[in-house]
Amino acid sequence: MRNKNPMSTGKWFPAFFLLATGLCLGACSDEKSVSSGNTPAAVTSKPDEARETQGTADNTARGPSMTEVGKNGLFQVTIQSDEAPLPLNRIHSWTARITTPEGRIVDNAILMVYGGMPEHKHGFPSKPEVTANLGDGRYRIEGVKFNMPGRWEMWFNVRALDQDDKVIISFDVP
Amino acid sequence: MKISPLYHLLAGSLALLALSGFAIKATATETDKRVDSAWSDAEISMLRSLSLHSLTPLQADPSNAVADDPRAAALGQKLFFDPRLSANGEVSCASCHQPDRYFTDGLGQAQGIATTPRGAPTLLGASYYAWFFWDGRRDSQWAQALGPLESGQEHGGTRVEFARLIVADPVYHAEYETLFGALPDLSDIKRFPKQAGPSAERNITDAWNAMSAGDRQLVTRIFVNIGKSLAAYERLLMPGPGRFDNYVEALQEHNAAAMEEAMTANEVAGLKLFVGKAMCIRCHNGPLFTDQGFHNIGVPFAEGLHLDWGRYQGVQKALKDEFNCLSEYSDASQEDCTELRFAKTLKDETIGAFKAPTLRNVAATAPYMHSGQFADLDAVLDHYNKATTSRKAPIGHSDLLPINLTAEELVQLKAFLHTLTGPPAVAPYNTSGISPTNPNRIR
Repeated sequence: MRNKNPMSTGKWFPAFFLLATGLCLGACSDEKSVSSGNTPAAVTSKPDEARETQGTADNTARGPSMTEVGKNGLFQVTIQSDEAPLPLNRIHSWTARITTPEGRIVDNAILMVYGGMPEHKHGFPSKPEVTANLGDGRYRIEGVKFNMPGRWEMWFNVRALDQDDKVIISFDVP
Repeated sequence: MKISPLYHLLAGSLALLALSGFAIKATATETDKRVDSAWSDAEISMLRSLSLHSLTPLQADPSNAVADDPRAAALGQKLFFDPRLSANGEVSCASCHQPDRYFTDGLGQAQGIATTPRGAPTLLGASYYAWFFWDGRRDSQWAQALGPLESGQEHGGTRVEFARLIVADPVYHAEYETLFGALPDLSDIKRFPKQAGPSAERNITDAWNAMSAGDRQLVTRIFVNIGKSLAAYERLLMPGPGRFDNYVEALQEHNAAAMEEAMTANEVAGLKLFVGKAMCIRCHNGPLFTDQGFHNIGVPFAEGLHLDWGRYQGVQKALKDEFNCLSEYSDASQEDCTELRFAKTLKDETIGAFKAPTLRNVAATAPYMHSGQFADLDAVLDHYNKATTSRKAPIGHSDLLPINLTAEELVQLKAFLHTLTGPPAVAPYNTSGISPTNPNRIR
C-alpha cells in the first residue's frame, strides 16, 4: 500500500507517503464492514460523540466537519478536530468518519493518515496515527501537529471491502 | 520592496503639508492612511502572531510535578548558578547560559570541563519547546538539564556526587526535603562510591553498575529532582519585547509616530522580506520566532567535527531515554506523552535536521547554527541566499529554497533581525545562599 500510491503526483509526495501510518482494525474483506441501511444520523450511540453526526453537528467545542469523497469515488471521509481553533505547535487529536458517498457506514477499514503542507513541500512535524476504531465508521487520529499557519492537507488511504480509495482534505490553519 | 517608494512619497507629501501650514487634522488622517497602506490585513494578522504579546501562557509540564512550584524555582536558581555542580568546581549552568548574554556564551561550541561539539542555545522561552538539545534527544526541560551535569565535556560530575551535594549542603538539604521528602543517608562509601554514575569513563560506570538497583534508584531520584528544580527556575526565563513588538503594537493602534519610533524604514523593509520573499516565516514563526521543528538547512559541518546526523539520531535517543516522558522518573501519564509517542522518526525527514532556534535576541547571540558554523548574521543570511533548487546538503537534503535576495535586501533583513532584541522578562540574579567560592565542591 505504501509503495503504490496513485496520488503520487506532486513532487513533494514521495516523502509524504513514507510517513503514512495506519492500523488494521479488523477483517478488512468482511462484507459486513459496510453496514447497509444505517444512515450516519442513526448510528451515534455514545452521548459525547453525538455531536459528530453529519449535517447536524454542533461544532462549538470542536473544529468544523470537513468531508471529501475519494479519488476512486468509493469512500467518503469526514474529519473533525477535537479542538477549535486548530492549535499551532501542539499535538492534538481528530476523528475521521468513513462512509460510502451514499452515506453508508464503513466499519473495519484499514485507514492510513498522512499529510503536510503541499505549498511548502513538507509533511507533518509529527507522525499522526490512527489509534482506535471507535465504531460506527469512526476512527481516532492522534498525534496531529501543525507548526505553521497556512494551507494544510490530510491524506487518507482507505482500504475496505478489498477496495482502495484515496481521500485528500485541505484546510487552513489560522 | 513595495513599501519604500510609497513610504517616501507619503512622507514627502506630509512634509509639504506641514510646511504649507495645513491643519493638523488633515495630517493625522493622511498619516493613518499611510500606516494602513503599508500592510495588508493578512500581513497585519501575521505580524500580530509574531508579537510577544501573542505568546500564550506557558502550559503545565505534566512530567514535572514541581515545574511551577516557586520553592522548586528558588532551589533551581541556586543550583543553576552553583559551580560546585562540576568536577573542577568551576562550571555551573550559568557558565554557558550567561544571564548577561541572553543565557548564551558567545561561543560556537560550548566550553565546560572541555569543548563540546555543539553551541549553548539561549534559555529565554526555551520552556515552550517540546524537545531539547539541538537534536531533540530529550523531551523535557528537566531531563535536558541532567545531560550536561553528567557529560564529561560539560560539568563532568557523577550522579552520586550530585546527590551527595544535596544531602551535605544544609540549604539544599532543607529545601529539597520540603519539596521532595526525606533524603536518604548516602554516607556509606561502600554502598555509594564517591564517584559513580553512567559515564564515558569506565571505572565510574563500573562503580555505578556495582551498586544495588535500589541504591541506584535512590541516587537517580535525587538527581532527577535536581533537574526538575532547575527546570522550575528555567521556566521563569522569558524573552522581553524588542522594538519589533513595539512596532506591531503601534501598528494595531494606527499610531504612525510610535511605529516610526519603533522601527526604521530599512527595518520595516526587512520585516516585509522576513514574512515574504525570504520565507524565513516558514520555520521562524510564532512569538518566539520558531516552529520548534527540526529542519535540515544544509549547514556545513563545523571544523574538525565528524558527521552529525542531527534529529535522526536525536529522536532515537529520546525514544530510548531513561528520563523520557514515559519513564519511571516522569510524573506524566501516557496520555500526556503525545510528543514522544507520535514523534516523527523517518530518516529522510530527520537526517541532518536540527531544531529551529528562536530568533528572539538573535542579533545579540552570535555565533550561529548548532556548532557555531557562522560567525555573524551576514554569514547566516549568505548561507540562506546561496540555496539552490539542488537541495544539496552535507548529509541528507536541504529544506531550503532559493530566495535570491539582493545586497540591499540582505542589509534590510539583517536590520530587521536587530529589532528582536529586548531585555529578559525576568531578572535572573538572586543568587543568595550560594557563593562561587564555596569550598564544598563535589570533588
